[in-house]
Amino acid sequence: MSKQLQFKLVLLGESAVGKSSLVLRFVKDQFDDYRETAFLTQTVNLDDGTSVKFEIWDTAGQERYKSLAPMYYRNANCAVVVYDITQTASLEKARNWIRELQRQADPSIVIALCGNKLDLAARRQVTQEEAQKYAEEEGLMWAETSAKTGEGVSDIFTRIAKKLPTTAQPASRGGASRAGATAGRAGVDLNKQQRPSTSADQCNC
Amino acid sequence: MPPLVPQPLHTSSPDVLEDIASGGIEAEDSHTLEPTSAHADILNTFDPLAHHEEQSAREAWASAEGHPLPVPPKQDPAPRESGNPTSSSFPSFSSFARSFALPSLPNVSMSLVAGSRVRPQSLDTAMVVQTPVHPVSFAAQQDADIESRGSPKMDAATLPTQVVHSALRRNDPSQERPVGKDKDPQFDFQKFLDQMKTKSAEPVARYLRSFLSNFAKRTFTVTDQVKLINDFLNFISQKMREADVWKLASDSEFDNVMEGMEKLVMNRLYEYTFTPQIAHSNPPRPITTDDLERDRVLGQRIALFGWIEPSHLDVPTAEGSNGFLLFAQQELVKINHYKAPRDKLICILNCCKVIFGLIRHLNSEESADTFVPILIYVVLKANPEHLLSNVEFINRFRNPTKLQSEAGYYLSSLMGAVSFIETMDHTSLSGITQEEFEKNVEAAIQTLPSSRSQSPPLPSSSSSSGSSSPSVNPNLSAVNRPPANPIPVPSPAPSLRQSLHAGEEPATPLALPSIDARRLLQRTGDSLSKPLSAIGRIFSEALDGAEEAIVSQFTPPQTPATTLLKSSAQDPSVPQAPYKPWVRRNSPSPSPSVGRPSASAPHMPPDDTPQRHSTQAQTLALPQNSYSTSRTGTPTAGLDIPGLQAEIDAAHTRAADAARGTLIQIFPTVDQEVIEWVLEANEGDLGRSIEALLEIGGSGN
Repeated sequence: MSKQLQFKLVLLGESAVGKSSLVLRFVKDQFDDYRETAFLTQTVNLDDGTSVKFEIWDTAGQERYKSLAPMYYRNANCAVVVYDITQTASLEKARNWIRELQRQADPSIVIALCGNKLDLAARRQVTQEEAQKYAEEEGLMWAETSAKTGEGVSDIFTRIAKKLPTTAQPASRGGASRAGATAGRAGVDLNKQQRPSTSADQCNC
Repeated sequence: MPPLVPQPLHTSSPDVLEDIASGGIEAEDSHTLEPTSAHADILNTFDPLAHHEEQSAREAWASAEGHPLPVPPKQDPAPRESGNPTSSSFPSFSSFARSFALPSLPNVSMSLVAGSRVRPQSLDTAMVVQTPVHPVSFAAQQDADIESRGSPKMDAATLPTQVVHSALRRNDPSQERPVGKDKDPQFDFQKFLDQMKTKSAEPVARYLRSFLSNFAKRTFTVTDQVKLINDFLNFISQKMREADVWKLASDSEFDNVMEGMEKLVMNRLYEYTFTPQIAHSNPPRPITTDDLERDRVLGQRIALFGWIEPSHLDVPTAEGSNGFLLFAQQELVKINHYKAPRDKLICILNCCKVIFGLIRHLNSEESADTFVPILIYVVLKANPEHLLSNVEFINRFRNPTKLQSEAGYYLSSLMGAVSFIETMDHTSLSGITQEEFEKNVEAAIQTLPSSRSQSPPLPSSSSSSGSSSPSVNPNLSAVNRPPANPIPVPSPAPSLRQSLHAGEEPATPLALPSIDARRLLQRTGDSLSKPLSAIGRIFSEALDGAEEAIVSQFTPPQTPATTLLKSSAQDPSVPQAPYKPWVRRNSPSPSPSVGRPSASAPHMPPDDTPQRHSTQAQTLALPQNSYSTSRTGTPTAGLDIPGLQAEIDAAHTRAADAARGTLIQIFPTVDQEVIEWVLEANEGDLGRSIEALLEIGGSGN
């Protein structure tokens, strides 16, 4: 009787901080090719038998597309905001994203701040202390990762999965039900999944 | 982890084969219920079983009549109904059931049932627009390789999460084909319709008819519409589960069934729910949204940016990328071809899928950083008519659970692209100064208004001239209201749908396509899209004509033919209302007889260019005539089905040529022989051929 939950995760961060690579590592355990797309899913199985499926919504990181972000984080259950530990400016951008999320996103959104490119720690510009302190102040999850080596990647996603509410209703099957039709659109609608269990826990590859 | 199989979108044309519902609705107040002998001829011509089926259907009906509906009133009320705030203004389902009167239904429904049987498969599938650029080219394989085509499909079992991956991925094509058929049931609208005709589905069909007819009787706010439709679908899904025909369906199969029901309902209610359709409704219905205004503003704005180059958005280019971009635009524009929200959404998915194909082709990173700018560029260049109305329509009426995941992602991306365009200035673009930006916009403004009345000097401006004329004058809204037409829409449907409401429609649609073709031609040098889309149009229109002809017998108030007859015979002022927008739009044009449909002289768009005219006129002459004929009283007789068949065959041939041309354009470096070989290996499927050629190209990279 394992629970299957599905959550929408929005991925934010400046271009070139490696957010896409991060997700690629998470989803496919790959780094060096370009085979990701903007939308991926991955399932994390927790110790208690719960499986948490992430729908990962990538966003364009370029400044000029900043105004598009609300389209993506609307109804998101969680957000991963990525910065590059070798670029101080990228943390600033991340702070902006986080402020925006706190202001505009669903109040219950779980936000994780993620310092990527840990493999380049030699060129580090953002100290762990600084980022961690900021994360604590804002009540964020925080981790440093390396999409290149994979270090810390699955860990942060697992932590997010654990922090997400486990009370979400597994899909009421019945195939036909439009699952709260009108209501489904308004709230955090991704807690309901309609897929048959056969495909629900497949990852996307 | 078995890869999800990209399920083909096997969507029968939205316009086709929905007689079940419409027949029922109209049956109640129709006075022309008798299937004509011409009808019967057609039936028998194309379906040897038709007669037999009709027989057995009648028998089935007769026996059903003898036994009252197996649905006791007690069961009727939808569970959600009690809490339904709108229930007061809307008859309960049980009252539907009770009040349901079927005086002449037997005849109608039987003939309709048989009628839907009638259409040759090739006709049914020809209009289905799938991944490929040209609907026609894929007609042949609709049934054979649906799952291999990698088109998105939307059932819950396999939300198209994987489509992008598998369809355009280097190592996937091999896996995706074989797995498909057994694993996940694919959406098959025809099958659903057939099931709806079974005896055990009869109660469901009655509920449906009742709902549709009641829905049509009143005007609801959009919010209420959404609720009513959702409530009905929730309600009917339970009734459907109880029907023998679906009792044993697996969850994913049943999900497809409900997809079919949503599509059927929305197809039938399209003219009440899709704002641009409401605008053209006859009799006029109030519009309760600002969709059209938003469409107009967006269309205008996009028209100001016709000069934007890929580099302005940092869209990488390479040899062949134009082909992809064009392909993506065409997919997006098809959104106006379909009625059902599901199909419209699939157009968006297809468009995005093609973009990812381009990204892969470019060896760029397949992330949102790359994807979003290309999508914006595609939207700018495609400038699909009524884009916002379409997006809103999808948001409102698509099953909310299907608006999550990948479909939701792409829909959101499209909305994001729109919002970007709405606020775009020189700081949003690369490599352009404020002065240059303003100069270009200024030039666009200068160009657009003049292009309306004459041959547009610029291809891009011509495409959107009508809708996007930036000139702010009093009759602007009138001018822009039907941008639907001036804007290039390669598919015939939009105009046809309008033809549902106005007798002269058949002429109007012709205009757009020609503009479109020319624009595409000029912009991309793709000489192939022109004849092809013309063909597609031709027989789509003829088909629609056929469908309408059949339906029209039972839907006097809605069909142009009837309207015409009525209006000219009884009340000349009646037709004026629905035509108003057209008249106004065309007022600057030398075509004064807009409101007067004419079978022999299809109206050419005033702003079209002569040379295109002649081509189009010739090509379209035949179907046009039969179409019109069919609308003016002898629906079936005027429809030259054998001719149509020949046309389809020819279209297939030309489609193959076009596909080859498209491939050559996209892959200029690939040997032609290889292209032909790949095309043949993929049975003419352009989408798969591109995929395969990408494979080849990819290995070389």
